[in-house]
Amino acid sequence: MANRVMIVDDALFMRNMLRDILSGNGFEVVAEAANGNEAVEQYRIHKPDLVTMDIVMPLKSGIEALQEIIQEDPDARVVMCSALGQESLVMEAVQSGARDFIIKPFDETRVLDVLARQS
Amino acid sequence: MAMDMEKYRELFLQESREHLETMNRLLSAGQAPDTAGIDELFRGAHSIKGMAASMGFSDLAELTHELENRLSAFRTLGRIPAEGLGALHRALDFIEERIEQIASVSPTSPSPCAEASPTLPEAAIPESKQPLQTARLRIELAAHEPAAAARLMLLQRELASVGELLEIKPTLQELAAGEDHRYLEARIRGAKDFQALSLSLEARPEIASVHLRVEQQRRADRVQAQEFARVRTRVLDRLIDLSAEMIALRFRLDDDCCNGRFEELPPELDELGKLLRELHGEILQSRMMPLSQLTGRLPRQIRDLGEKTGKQLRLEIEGDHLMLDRGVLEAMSDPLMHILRNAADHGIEKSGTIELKARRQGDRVILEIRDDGRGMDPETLRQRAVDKGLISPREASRLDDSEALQLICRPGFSTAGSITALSGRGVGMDVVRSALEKFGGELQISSTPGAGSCFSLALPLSAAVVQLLLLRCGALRLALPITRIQAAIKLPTSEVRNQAGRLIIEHRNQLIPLLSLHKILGQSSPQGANTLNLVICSVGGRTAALVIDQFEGIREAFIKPLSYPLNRLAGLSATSILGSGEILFVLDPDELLRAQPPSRGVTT
Repeated sequence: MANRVMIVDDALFMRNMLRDILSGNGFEVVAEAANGNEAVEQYRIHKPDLVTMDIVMPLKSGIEALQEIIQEDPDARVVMCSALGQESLVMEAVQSGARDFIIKPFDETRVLDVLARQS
Repeated sequence: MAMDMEKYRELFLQESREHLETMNRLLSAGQAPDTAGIDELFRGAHSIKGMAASMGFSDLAELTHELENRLSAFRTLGRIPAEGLGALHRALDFIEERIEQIASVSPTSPSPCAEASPTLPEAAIPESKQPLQTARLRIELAAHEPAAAARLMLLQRELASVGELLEIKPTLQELAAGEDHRYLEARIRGAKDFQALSLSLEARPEIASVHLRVEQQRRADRVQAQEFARVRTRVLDRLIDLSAEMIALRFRLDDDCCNGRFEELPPELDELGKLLRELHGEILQSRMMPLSQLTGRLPRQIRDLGEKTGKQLRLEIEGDHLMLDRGVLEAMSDPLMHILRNAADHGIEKSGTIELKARRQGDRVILEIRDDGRGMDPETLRQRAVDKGLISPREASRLDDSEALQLICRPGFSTAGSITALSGRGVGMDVVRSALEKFGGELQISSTPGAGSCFSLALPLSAAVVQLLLLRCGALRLALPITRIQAAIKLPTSEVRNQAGRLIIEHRNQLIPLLSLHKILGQSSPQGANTLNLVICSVGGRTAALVIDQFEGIREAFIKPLSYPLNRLAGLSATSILGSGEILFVLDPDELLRAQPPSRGVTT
C-alpha cells in the first residue's frame, strides 16, 4: 500500500496535527517540510507516495513547489491543503496537477478519506 | 440425483434446447458447416454434456460425449462429409427426444427456473468482461462544499480516466474561468461498471447525489456482451403493469391540474414522467426476444416437410436477429408454420427455395416468406370464391388482382385443389390472418403465377402499447385498436341504402353492411341524427361499418388483456386505464363481427 507521506506546512501546529491524524491511521509520515524549497528537496530524497501541501508558505509557495515536483515526477500524488476562500489558488493547483485538496480546518475523517483514495 | 439439482432442471432444459436450436440451424443451413461452424457445434455438444452430467443424466452425457468425439474428428478433417451430416442430424434428433422425454417426466414444479441461483457451480457462469457501455451521470456537490469549481474539475478528470467523455457540462474552460457550478453532467463511454462507480462517488462526503442512467446499448454491442439473467415472465408482466399504472397515475395528476385541483405541478413531476416512460420502455424491452427463437426450429421442420412431400426444399433465413415482444413471437409460431407448410405443399412443385426475410420498418418488423413455386392466379381464385358462394360474380369482377389474392384468407376458402396431409388440416389462411390481426399484425399477399408467392407479415414490436381510437357508444366509452380499423368516417344518413332489408353503405367502391354497435352492446340507439359516425373494420375478409355515437380521438395506450371472468365476454379484448383513472374497454372487432349477423333495419 502506498502510505508513505510527506507533510508540507509552514505551521508546526498544522504539521503536528496532520501527523497525529495520519500516523494513527495506517500512514507513515516519512518527511516534513516547512516551505516550498524544502518540499522539493525532501521529495527528491524520500520519494514519498503522498504529499500534503499547504498553499501559502514563505520562500516558495505550495503551488510552485507542486509544479516543480510534478515536473520531476509526473506521477507525484500531491494533495493540497488550503484555507477557505482560496478557491482560485485551489483551482490553479488542480490545473497544475494536484490530485485532490483538503480545506482547513481539518476534519479528520475527511482528511483520511481523501488520502486513502490516493493511496 | 441430489434434490437441489432439481431446481436447475428448467435451466438445463431451456439451455439445452437453445443449444439444439443453434446446432440444428448450423447443420441445416444450405451448405455444410465450415470449421467455425464445427467449432460451434462442438461447443453446443460440450455444453449439453456438461449440464447433462451435472444433472445426473449419464446416458445423455455419454451420447453428447460421443457426438463431441465425432465433431472433434470432423474438426481435424476440416469439414463434415455428406454421410457424417446425416449421422449428426440423427444424433441431434435423438438428443432432442431424450431432452423432451426428461421434460415430460415430471411436469415443471412451480417454476423453479427463475430463482437467482447463487449456488450454481462457478464454472457454469462464465466470467464476463465488463461490456463497453455509455452512461449519463449527473453528479451534484454537497451543499457548502468549498472550491466547487476545483472539485468538479477533479471529478471530471477522474471520469476521463475511466472512459471517454462524449459530453461534459460544465467544460474545463468554464470551470477554469471560475464560473459557479455545483454539478457535473457527463455522458461517458467505457468498459466500466458505472453502477459501482456511481455508488462509490455517492458515498463521498463532497458529493450530495449521483444520477446514473446507462444508455441502451446498440445491437452490435449487445450481441458482443451477452449477459443474461433469467427472469420469470410473470415478473416481467407484473413490472409492465406496474409501470404502466404509474404512468397512468402521472397523467391523472396532469388532469387534476387542468381541472384546477392543483394550482401548478412542480417541474420535478415532468422529470418523473420522463423517467417512468423510460422505465416502462426498458421493461418492455426486457420482454423482447430475437426472431431466431422462432426460426431456429424451422430448418429442421423444413427438412421434415421435404421428406414428407418428397420435394427438395431449401430454406434461407435473413434478419432473424431482430427483436420482438415474446407475446408476438409466441402468437406468430403457428401462423408462420402454416404459411411455410402451404409454400412447401402448394407453392413449390418439385424443388425450390423458401426465403424468410425479416427487416425493421418503423415500429414494426416486416417478415416476408417468399417461395419460388407456381404462384397463384388471381382469376382462378376469383372463380373459386364465386363457386364456393363466398362472393357474387359481380363482386368478383370488381376485385383487382391484389384483392383477389386476399380471397384465400376468407373463411371457407380452401387453398388447395387437393387436401394433403400437410396443410389440409382445416386450418386455413383465415385463421392465420386473424391470429396476426389479434395482436395488431397485418398480412399482405402478392404472387406471380409461375414465379412464386410472397406473404408479408407486418408485426408490431410490442403487443402491449397500441394506438387506440377512442369512441363513445351510448353511455360507454370504448376503444378500438387503430390497426384493426380501415377507416373512421362521417356519412350523411341519406347515403345509407337498404338492400333486401340489409342496411349498407358504399365506401371506396365497396358495399359494406352496417352494424349497430349500440345493439351489440345493448345500448339504446340514438334517434334522428343526420350524420352517422362509422368505423369500418375488416376482419378475416369480412368488412362491416360499425355505427357509433362519437369519435373521441386517438391515444397511445398500454393495454392489458382481460383476465377471468371478463375474458369470457365476447367482443372485448383488453382494458386500458385513462389518465382520469377511468377504465377503458378495448373492443375486439374480430369477435364483434363474427358474433353478429349483418344488421337488418338498424335504427339510426
